[in-house]
Amino acid sequence: MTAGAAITIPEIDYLLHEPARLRLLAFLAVVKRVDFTYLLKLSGLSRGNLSVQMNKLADARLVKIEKSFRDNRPRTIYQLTARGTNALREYKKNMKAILAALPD
Amino acid sequence: MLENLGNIEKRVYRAFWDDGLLDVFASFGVLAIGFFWMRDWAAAAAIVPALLVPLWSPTRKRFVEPRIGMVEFSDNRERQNTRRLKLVIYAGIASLIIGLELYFFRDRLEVSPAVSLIAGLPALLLGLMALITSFLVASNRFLIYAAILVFAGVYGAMNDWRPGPILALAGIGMLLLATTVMVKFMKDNPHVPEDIE
Repeated sequence: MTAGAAITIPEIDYLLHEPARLRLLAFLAVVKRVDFTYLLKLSGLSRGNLSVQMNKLADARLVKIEKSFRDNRPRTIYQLTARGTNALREYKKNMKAILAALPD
Repeated sequence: MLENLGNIEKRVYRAFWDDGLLDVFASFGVLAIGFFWMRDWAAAAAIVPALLVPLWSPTRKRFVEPRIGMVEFSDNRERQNTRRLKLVIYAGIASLIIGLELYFFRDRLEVSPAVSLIAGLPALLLGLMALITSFLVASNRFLIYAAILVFAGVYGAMNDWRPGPILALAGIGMLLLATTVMVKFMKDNPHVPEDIE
């Protein structure tokens, strides 16, 4: 390597890098569909925080949101999109590369 | 699909069964079978599982989902579940039929020490079912139910009880534990008024 040359490391997607969002995506990656209440219990996040994080993921089209009513109760169902699966896979690959380059 | 997420999926799957509903259904089933057998409606006992299965999904939607929400597992997991549940139900019905046959034709058997245990056989076979279920739903509670069934089977047979009271005793023991599990679940997970953010 020549002195002063830029060191390139894999790009990290900061949308996924945030711990709460990463945890939510990991949950969504192992199930088919899940509703807001289940995700709330599973993640341990507050309602407000969960809602904000899920909306960010939905805005980036990593997660699909379905809103409906059942027994007069509003229900929000989340599902990881193909784009979300790919983003998560890419994130994992890049993180692995970075971690592998770190000294022990 | 992404690799190494199996552990998360297993934990989520295990938590799915922690509401105690399956426990209540199983123990109520054993109690009902015992009751029918005590009333000499042994044939009716064989249809108890078939009566309980259609109630599972609506009951879960009514009592569990408003508390902890809804999750659908992957198609693979759902297929595996359906296959396993069918296996448990068919094996349960087969166990009961074998138990019934052996019990009603016990006089024709000539192995006297074995005959004394035959009254406990339905409970022992259902204990085996509970053991299998504990592996299927990854729940140690079903090991306790298996132990209750085995204990009731052996104790009842040694005291010359008929299969009905043995199963009823086991059912009551199981129902006590199952109710405790469900009450704890309901206390820990109060009804969520609405799931909107």
